[in-house]
Amino acid sequence: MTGQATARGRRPLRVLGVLLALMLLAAACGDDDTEESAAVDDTAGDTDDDTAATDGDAPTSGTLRVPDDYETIQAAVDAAEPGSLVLIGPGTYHEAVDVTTDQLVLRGQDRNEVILDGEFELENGVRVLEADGVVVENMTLRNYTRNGVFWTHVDGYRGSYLTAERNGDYGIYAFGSVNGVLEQSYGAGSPDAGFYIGQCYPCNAVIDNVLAEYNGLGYSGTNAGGDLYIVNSEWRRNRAGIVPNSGSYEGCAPERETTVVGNLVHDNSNGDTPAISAARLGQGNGILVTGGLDNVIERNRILDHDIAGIAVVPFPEDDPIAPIPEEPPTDCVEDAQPAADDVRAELPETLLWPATGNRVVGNAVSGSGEWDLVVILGRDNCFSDNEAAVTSPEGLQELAPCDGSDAGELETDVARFLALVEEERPESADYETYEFPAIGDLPGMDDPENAPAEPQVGPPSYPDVASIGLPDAP
Amino acid sequence: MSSLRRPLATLASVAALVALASCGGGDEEPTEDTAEAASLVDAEVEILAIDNAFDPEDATIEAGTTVTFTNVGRNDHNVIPEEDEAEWTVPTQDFGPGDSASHRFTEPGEYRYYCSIHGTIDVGMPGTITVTDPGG
Repeated sequence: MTGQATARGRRPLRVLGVLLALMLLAAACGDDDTEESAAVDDTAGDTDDDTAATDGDAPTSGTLRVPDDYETIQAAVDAAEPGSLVLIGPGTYHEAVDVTTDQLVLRGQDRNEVILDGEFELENGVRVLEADGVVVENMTLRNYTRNGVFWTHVDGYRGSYLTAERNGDYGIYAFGSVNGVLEQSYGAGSPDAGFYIGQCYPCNAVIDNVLAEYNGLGYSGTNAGGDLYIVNSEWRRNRAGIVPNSGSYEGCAPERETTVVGNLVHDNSNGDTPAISAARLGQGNGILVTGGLDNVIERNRILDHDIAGIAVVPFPEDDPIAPIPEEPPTDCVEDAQPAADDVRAELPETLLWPATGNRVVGNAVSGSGEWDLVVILGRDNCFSDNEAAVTSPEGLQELAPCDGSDAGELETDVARFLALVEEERPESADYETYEFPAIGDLPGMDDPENAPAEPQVGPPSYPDVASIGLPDAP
Repeated sequence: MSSLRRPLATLASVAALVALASCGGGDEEPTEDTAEAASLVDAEVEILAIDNAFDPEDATIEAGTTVTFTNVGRNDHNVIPEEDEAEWTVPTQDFGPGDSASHRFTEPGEYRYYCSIHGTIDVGMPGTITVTDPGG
């Protein structure tokens, strides 16, 4: 193996010269495949059947109760065989739980009373490592230095009725994983994002009926897309709201084909939050497609952002490790492949990921400081039937309607965009001490004691997007 | 003539070896360790931490190679050797995006490690460095 030591420290963003110099590529629009999901009906374990085997090494099926049968959640998880239900009683657990057994369901008996607390010492609340079909539901996870719940490289995951607060990277995080659902959950106080799905195509995932607030980003999705739906959710008081994005530091680039429908997105200009640098950069935008392709953004209500309600812009990546792929990969969950040393040496200091082929239709946008709708550079993005007073370029919906016509190269306000990008943003708050209003008790799942355990097997049930309307204003 | 020189040469060699063997811990003659150190390579290799993997995940190097771990991702990572408290541990606070840390591996063997944030020694974000004898 050969290699060379290269020092790659941080470099300041160098956007101006790159944006003015580049011409962007067009990309074909993909299909929006809304196939029916397979039935998820693997009910593993009758909750009336307490087969609590406290004697340790033999795997145990059915329901494993914590703390009645197992003193710790980890002990129960370690004892459980695939398909088991780990049912956790009210209390505060100072644990970091690793799951490596397929199709476990970890469930709190009360969403607000079952609390996993990292006390700013432990890294992840529940971490699912290459175990398929694992469900985490009906509990609170807080004060972890990294993530509340984290699935990595799995086929099948679900997070339901979760409260993730004040975790140091993401609240709820799925990486390199497919066939997932994040629903009825809450993410707050994370410097990166409340909810994150990254490195998958097609992801086959649904984010439905969640609330994200007081984060750096409400949603971040690097190189994620393909049957990926973000619907019926509220994104508020973050630095930026919904941010699909591309980057060479994760696999499956570029980001593409995310469907964002029926969301309420407002007041994402909050300069007080914890925030990674990318979140600070995106501050003031509601839906910010940065370097993404062929996304569908429809019937969202977007209000009160300092910069833009909906922005479709390129993403400037500093110090890339690989070039933009000539062909986006299919069936991908693989890690990034850094380019060979000689290729990396020739990469620009700032790599500009284009945003093309995005469809923005039927949204209601108002109260934007600069633009309700804005596109910067890019080709084949279209905008139709949006309620929007100020667009850039002016008359955007007449210039680039979603009627199949070719809008050609639009004259976009690059200079103003650059000026806004380079404005100073407030520094990140310390996520450990950041004060934000308590959300209070949140609704939990029905009948946690008796509901059957349902691991996530196969693709989720996709939403009927056409039936989702425009949300009401708050 | 040659037959006469050979015993003399042999005698001289033996004498030299005896002299070497009788040396103490002084700092004047080269020791066996120094002789070994002199045979180590002087190479450099980079292992990248991306989000969320090491690249290359499995690296083979010769003893004496300096490995530089560089975080080119956007997340924090760390480098936790399987051996407890190994001197080449890179804690999270020293391995944010853009950070680097180096260690020279001089002893042949297999060195396993991982990022504890994103996995364990076996799954998630593991890595292995195999150190071979110089020239091996």
